Amino acid sequence: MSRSARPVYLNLFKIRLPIPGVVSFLHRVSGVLLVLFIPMSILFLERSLAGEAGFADVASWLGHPLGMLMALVFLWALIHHLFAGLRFLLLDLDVGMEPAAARTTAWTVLVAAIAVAVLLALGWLV
Amino acid sequence: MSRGLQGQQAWVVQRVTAIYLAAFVILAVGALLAVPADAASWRSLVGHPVSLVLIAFFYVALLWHAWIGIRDVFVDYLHVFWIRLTAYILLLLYLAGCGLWIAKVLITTTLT
Repeated sequence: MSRSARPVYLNLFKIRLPIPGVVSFLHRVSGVLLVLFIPMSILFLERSLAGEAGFADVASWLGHPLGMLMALVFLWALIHHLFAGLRFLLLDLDVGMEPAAARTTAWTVLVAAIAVAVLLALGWLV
Repeated sequence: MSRGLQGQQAWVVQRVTAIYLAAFVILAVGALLAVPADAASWRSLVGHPVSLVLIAFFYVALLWHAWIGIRDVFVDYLHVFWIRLTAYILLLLYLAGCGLWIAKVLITTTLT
């Protein structure tokens, strides 16, 4: 196989990813997480619609510390994927393509996603 | 369709579904924050015909978007053909299972 004849050995510890690269990688990580959350979203929807008892079940799941932690992870993944995705759509339209602007928007996405996820979690669960 | 156009088609689908998913999520977060947290209010919000149609379209767009996105991840990391093929089949079964399940939930909600 020609693939094995290509000795490309990258030392990942010697590569410092620029911040737009970090946002891009986290877009991928959050996307994979969100796919894993799909069955849970359906389960929550199904139970929450199953009368008073079902609705109370979902409320108690979200009230459990583990449920809160997972809700926070889910919210971060959702908001990061949303914000980073909107940034990519703008890049597709040639908006924010200059390196300086791309770095600024990347930082904005990274910080805003964490901030909004925490705010939503607080507003929701507290 | 020729093979050369398939990648471009996936690129377009990924962006069209992304726009719908983004709009839905923003709308849904707003609705979740606005609706009173009790079973009856929640049920009447989700059970509304407009909501049910929007949710159905959301899951169609979501599962399609997930298929293209995870397929791209597999292409990048799974270089052995039969491992990649197995992963595609498992992904397809996983997404199809989710699709059948949400269809059942939405149909049940419509009928009851």
